[in-house]
Amino acid sequence: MARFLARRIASAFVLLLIVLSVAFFFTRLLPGSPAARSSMTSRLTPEQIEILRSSYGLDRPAVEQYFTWLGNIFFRWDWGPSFSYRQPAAQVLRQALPNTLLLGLATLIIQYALGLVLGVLTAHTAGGRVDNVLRGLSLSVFSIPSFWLATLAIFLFHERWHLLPAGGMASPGSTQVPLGERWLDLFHHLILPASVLGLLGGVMIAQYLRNNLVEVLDQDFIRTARSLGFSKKRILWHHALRNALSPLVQLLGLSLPTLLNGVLVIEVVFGWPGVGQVLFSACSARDYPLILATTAYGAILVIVGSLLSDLLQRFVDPRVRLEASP
Amino acid sequence: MNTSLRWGLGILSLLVLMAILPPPIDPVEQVDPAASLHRPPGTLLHQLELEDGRALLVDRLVVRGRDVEILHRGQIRTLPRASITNLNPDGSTTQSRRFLLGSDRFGRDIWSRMMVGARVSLLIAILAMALASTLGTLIGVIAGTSGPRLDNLLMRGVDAAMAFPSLFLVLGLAAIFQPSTAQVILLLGCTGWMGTARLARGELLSLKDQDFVVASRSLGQRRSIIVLRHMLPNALNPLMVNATLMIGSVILAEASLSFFGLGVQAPTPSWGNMVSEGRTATHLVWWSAFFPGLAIAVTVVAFNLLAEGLRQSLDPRTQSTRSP
Repeated sequence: MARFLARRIASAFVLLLIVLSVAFFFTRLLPGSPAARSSMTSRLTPEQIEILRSSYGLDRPAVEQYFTWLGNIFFRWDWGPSFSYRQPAAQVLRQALPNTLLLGLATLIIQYALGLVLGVLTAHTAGGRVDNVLRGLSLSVFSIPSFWLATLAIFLFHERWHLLPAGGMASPGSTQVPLGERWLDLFHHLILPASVLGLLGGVMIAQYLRNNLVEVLDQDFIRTARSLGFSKKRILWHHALRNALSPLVQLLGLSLPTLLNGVLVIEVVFGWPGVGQVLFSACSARDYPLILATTAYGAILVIVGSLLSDLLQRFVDPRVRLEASP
Repeated sequence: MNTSLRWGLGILSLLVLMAILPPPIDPVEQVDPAASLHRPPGTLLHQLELEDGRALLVDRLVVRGRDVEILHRGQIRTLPRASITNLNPDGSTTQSRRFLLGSDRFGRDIWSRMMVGARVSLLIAILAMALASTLGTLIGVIAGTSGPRLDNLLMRGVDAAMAFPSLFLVLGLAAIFQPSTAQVILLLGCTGWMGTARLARGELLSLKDQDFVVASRSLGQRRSIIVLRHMLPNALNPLMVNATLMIGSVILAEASLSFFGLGVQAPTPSWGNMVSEGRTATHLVWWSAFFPGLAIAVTVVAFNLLAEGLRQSLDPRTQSTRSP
């Protein structure tokens, strides 16, 4: 176990290093300096730009900049200054990250709850009408742009029926109310964005689980269980589901980039103050250090997430645990 | 021809028709925007050309002797008949605008803009797919047919590229480059090749030790000939299905990019930036965001159906119960 963990962490680290290096050289290889491309340049004299450049160390050779930058990240978690927020980029992201994790987690819960129920239901009635409807639905859900669904959801649930808030994480003035009400308010704000994203992912998970279940239900040990007189329900929930679950955990790791893409879009549409929102405003302000840091954070989330899902899979599936090499 | 293929091709031919036919109303020009903005689907407005060169869009007009009574911007007004230059003798106008799917906040016809948007979206998607497929196949073939060292290196590169949530990457790059439409194609093509590379590599690796490849190798064929003539054609089917699937995801990616204002720039309409513009309106003008988004969804469904149909018809062993 320890050896597996060490190897997995080492390879994640190397991957992270590659990702960071590529991202760094991508932004530095561009023509013109960040200072010259920044929005405030028009108001500065060439001398002032020169001073700015040297104060950020941009007049050094690229390789030296690269190692300074990497050193700052690894030893001090310093991602450089954000021009648009006038704060260290790491601080901007530290404020945004918990919000993104909250939205991502809520989405995952909805996705997997929906996926589990629908998946088992359709596997139970495979080939039937419910199954066919869901298969058609999953094909179209896969094709729906999330920003469009989110916009429609805001139109209906917020603007037309006034059922749910749609914007930010808290109602104005909510800092004055007691903690319990503040949590409730947060929960209210979370429902719509998490549901939109959860619905899109959930149908896909249901389809995946259904296919796995159908395959498992075809195997010998299920026939044995049936011949022993276990009820159909018990076989489905106890015997088949446990075996179909392992690929689902694997899917969790693989679907993380997709989830993060979705969270990014949803955050912007709903004004959710998370990492996606930060990236969007950094892009609009052409705030390069922050763009770089946010993109790297996205990659780190994916890498850490897939590491966790690998560990979870070893926990869920003894077959993976027993294998000599991961 | 199976059902998926038939439906996919059917919807796609309608979409292509939509893209190549000329739009009924100029998609960019704004005529009397104050009178025509945010009109619901099906609205018919008559266009009056006035002597002083202005154009009015009116809901109704009735000729009363030498005067014309019009309903313009919710008010009934009277104009002298002589001041209108495009009136027929029977009292109808020579020009009118029918907003089939409603109008946007500048009084532009949404259906016409969607037709031009179809051109933009389909063109970007197909070219970006071609670029990504070529790149991916090339890298996959190199990885799958060269030694384990280069293979390992390339695949770690693919891992690194895939660890990026692609939208973060594309959004960041788009913000840095501020791309034109051609550069959007380049951007989407250069960030979408990884899946194809993995697929191509896997296919080639599985072909590497098959008898016909071993045979041609033992006959002393050059490696490039073996790869191009014998291995690649055998890997073509899954790559084709993959390419078709990719068009759908590229359309979604382009739409997201344009939605964020970093892809196709206004006034050129694309489905993504149309949804984005429609979002700023309220639910009372739902049509301005609804129809462009629907077009995206239908198009992606069509390409997914086509891919599914291709997969079924290319692989006779496929069982429908195991389809993803």
